[in-house]
Amino acid sequence: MSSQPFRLATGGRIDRQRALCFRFDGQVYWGHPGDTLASALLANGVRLVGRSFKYHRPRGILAAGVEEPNALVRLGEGARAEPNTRATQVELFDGLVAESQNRWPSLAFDAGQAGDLLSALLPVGFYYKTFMRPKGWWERYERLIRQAAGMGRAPQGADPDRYAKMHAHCDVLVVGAGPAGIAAALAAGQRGARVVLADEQAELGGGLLAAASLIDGQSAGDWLALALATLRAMDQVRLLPRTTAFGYYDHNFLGLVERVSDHLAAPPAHLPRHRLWKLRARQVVLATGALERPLVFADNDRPGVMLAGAAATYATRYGVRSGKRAVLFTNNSEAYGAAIALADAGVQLTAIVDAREDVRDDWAARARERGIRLLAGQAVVAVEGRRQVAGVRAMRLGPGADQVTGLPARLECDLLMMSGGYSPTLHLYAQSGGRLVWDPLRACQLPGEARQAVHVAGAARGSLELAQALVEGTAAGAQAAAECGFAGALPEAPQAEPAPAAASLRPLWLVPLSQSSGGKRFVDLQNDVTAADLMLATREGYRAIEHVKRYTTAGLGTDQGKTGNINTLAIVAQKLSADIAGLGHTTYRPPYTPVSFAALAGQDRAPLHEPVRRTGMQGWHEERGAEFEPVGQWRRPHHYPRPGESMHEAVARECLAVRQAVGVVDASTLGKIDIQGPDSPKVLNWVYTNAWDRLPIGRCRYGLMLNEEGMVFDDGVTARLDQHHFHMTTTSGGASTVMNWLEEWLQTEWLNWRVRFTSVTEQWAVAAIAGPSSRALLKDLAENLDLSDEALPFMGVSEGRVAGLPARVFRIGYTGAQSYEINVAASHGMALWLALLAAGEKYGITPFGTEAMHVLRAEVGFIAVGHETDGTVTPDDLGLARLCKTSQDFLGRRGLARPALRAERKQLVGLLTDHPKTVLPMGGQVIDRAELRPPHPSLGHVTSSYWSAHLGRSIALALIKGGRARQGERVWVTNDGGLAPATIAPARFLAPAEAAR
Amino acid sequence: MSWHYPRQSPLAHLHLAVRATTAEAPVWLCERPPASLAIVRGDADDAGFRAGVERAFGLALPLVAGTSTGQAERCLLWLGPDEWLIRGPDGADLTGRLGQELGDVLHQRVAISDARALIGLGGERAREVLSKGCGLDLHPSLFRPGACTQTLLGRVGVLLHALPADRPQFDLYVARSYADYLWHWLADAASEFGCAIREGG
Repeated sequence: MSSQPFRLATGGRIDRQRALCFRFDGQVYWGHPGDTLASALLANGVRLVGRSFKYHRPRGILAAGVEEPNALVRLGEGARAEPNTRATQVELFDGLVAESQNRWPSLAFDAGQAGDLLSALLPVGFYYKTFMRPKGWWERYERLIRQAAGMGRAPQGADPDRYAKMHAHCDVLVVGAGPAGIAAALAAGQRGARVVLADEQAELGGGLLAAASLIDGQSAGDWLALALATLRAMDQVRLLPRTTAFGYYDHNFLGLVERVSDHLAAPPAHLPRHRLWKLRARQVVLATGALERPLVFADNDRPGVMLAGAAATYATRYGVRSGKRAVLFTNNSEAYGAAIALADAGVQLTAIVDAREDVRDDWAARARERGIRLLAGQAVVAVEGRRQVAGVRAMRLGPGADQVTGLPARLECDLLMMSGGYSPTLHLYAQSGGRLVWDPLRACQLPGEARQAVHVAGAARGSLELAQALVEGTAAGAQAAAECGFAGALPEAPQAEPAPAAASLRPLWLVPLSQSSGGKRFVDLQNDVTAADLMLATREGYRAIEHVKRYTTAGLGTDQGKTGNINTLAIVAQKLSADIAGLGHTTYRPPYTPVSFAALAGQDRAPLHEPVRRTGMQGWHEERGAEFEPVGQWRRPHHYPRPGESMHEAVARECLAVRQAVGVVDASTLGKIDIQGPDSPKVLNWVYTNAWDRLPIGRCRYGLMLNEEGMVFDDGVTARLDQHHFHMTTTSGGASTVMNWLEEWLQTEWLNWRVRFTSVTEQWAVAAIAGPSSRALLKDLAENLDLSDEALPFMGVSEGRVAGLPARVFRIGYTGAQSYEINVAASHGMALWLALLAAGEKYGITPFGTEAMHVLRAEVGFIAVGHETDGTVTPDDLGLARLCKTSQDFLGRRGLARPALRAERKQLVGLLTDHPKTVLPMGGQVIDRAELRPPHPSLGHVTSSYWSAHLGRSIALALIKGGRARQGERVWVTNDGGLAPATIAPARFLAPAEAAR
Repeated sequence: MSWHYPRQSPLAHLHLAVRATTAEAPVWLCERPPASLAIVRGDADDAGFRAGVERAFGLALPLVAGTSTGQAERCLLWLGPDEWLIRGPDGADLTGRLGQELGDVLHQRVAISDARALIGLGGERAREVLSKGCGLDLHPSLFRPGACTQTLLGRVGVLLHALPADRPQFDLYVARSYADYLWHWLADAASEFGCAIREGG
């Protein structure tokens, strides 16, 4: 096992007894359970972990948590690889493989760093300024730029993992399991509220995991263990580690993503990788902590420059020294704690460079006790070393912090800790609609007026002290529970020893450049945005912070400016001589951190991506090798190819069978609605254009349904089963639309009508037999069923038995051939189907699909909703004006009377091509000349077009301007890049069979 | 009405009987045996209607949204302010009985025994399986035994009935054509907990 030169001998929450092997950029390293990838890399002395986005500058680890902008790695291999993963949040496991990003050919030697040398040519807005000419070349530039400035690579293969979603509800959601969050969960849980406590880290505890203080007389670690045990013992409390609350939406609805198995070397196949929680909370407690801000000085991005708190976390939680000799550069007292923690861990502290003059508080005293040199009123102005900090220079800071003076002092170090203050993590609060208020004293945004049922506690409301966080958490948890009806006395908050007294911070947004040193002062490390970029933007006239953000890209990307946003705001305010508070802030949008698309999809991917509806005969169609087409969520057989048969041949065979013998089609998908009540005919009179009062019992009628605009939206046949009982059929795709249409009218306008509807689409399986032999076939199978023309005429309905099955038989059809639609209970569908096929064998029965059905109906000129109608077609356009009653009102009638409809309309006609074998494309445009010479005024378009085997030629239906008066005229139809000549004909190519009239 | 002819259950093509076990599992699934189902619609304020339904089945008409009366296999489920689902033993002529008892009272009665698939779901983690695809709060204190609701599960509408039982047990009524999707969705959702297929009874 290789040594881990920067690992401390003792301390931290890692298991030194077990070693985990991992690879970074092909090199093998070792770490321990409890490590993150970042802490393990640091323990191994790996400082250089990535290249920056634009300038390809060498970058190291800046942070210890979610705010890390630099250490983005590609994790895993093959289809499981995930780019842009923050190494600071990746739990180490045995066999982990990670790769650095944004470098070529290697991390140590990156050809792209020329970008840094050429940076004068890449100022902010360089896209817009440089690459806009010559016109049209942007697309060429873009490819090169994208390649140079990529953010990782997406994996190529399909994602092999499972993902899950979970809806959840609770009284109190606590986000963040640091001291405030734990205290809140305890307080709410003890009152009996249903509590969810979520934290993005593997271990719950947040700051407590690295805290040295005592709570209720115990070490922070012991207190935490006890608190978590207490919470686990509560039935109504759910703990969600490794879970990021990423979005706070309306009505206290939050999105959380739980990383269920990312940390496992070999995730069990049954476990999802991520679980998306869609959580509705009555009350929310945000205990989301605060993020430390970097300071903005020259070359503040060098590997070895680290947030002070992060360095302390690595030392106390992970047992890792982030360097051998350290300097702390700070503008506040809290950061002294980090320096002291490192000193106690054996790191040599060269100096503390403090921007404040005359620091005299408990922290300074503690530093002095340890013999740490204090440089007050100074600032770091230069960082030595390129791939690794080799030392820093500090100079005296002028009173206005707008210049540095005197001689620089060189300070030896390989680690520069920095702290520019703390920004409460208010992303979720802002997403919830809560206002953010600038606090000049603490130089940060604090939660203002809330919009939703939300409470903020601890560092998230600026209370950095442990004792205060515990008090606030307890109060927030108790109050949230009380607002859910769980009252009680205010529980006693856990007691922590008071923190050392701290002097207030000195806002220091931008360290002036010294005359001797230049260097870039980075504000947004992930997007390579510098202070100079922001200043340029203000010089160019940008004022609104949202515009500055988009122009400079500060705060964009996966990082969303976690470390940079407040510095950006302050520097822009400074340059504009504006008040920070007055400048507002950029919008915090979900997600807080990136969420995988797969987590959002959950189970909704193939084969469960879209439900597929099955009829009772579906299994037969599948076994028979049918080709399917989607109709709504149904999959209807399109045709049944025989071995070696093309689609064209199969459809022709199926059509001829219907015209010459008998065919059978699964028509179960037709919508069916049972209508009962004395007012049923009244309903039909309204929803259909024709009259229904006089329809005799046992007879059917075809009807068109119009919307309020007078446009046809569905059609079908409805039968009168009894005086007050009707059976309506609709198109397969329109079934639910029609049902909703009826219910809507009933519930909003026809309140007292004595009629009710129930969908029976699923109750009945329907086999339609069609063809000259259909009656003979049915006769063979019928019992108690008189098939004579007198008993069951065309457009009649009878009940009896077919193949022994109770059946309702409609003598209706859609093919122009003699046909019967046999309805049986759905569970008898297969039995009926098989019986028909067996009995039909001697008649040459042929199952046919939807394509043959369309050919057959087009031959006799029957319309298909969705082909001949598109929401802009009236009954008259279809040549069906005779179906519109004149004596009574109906839905859509007033729409039809609109003056706009009096202009010349497109009317349904037939088209016969000059060449009988030319089948026109559906949707083909119809024009009146033989030449393609735009502009062409369109006469209309082809709505249906097929090869008719029965007629031995192609047929087409079309909607053509004034078409009915243009019979016999020649037109031309766009066809495969050319034009096909055709003649306008009646919209019927074949008379229906005698028996089907 | 009695059945003498070959019937196929909505999930017959999955051959569930062959795969059924009696093993304990955190979640179990089954296709319930056939039952007689009917919809009745009428005016809840009409005492004659209420009394007629009650006479027909010996069960009070549930008038509160999301409630039911009866047991799993003989019950009345509230579907809407004027709509109920009746479940009775296979072959029971529910609409016939309704017709007899309601006579001239205004109502709609429709047999839908074949229109629904009936899937049973149970086990200690059954609620979690449902919560994967259902946005309602199914906490036992809110969605109590006897509760029923029409809701979206995964991508299909279902009628969910919490059965009066000691351990979590639900009956899911789904449109027959969606049964295959729902079964596979449930099996997939339950797989992380461990899922057994049971005999329907």
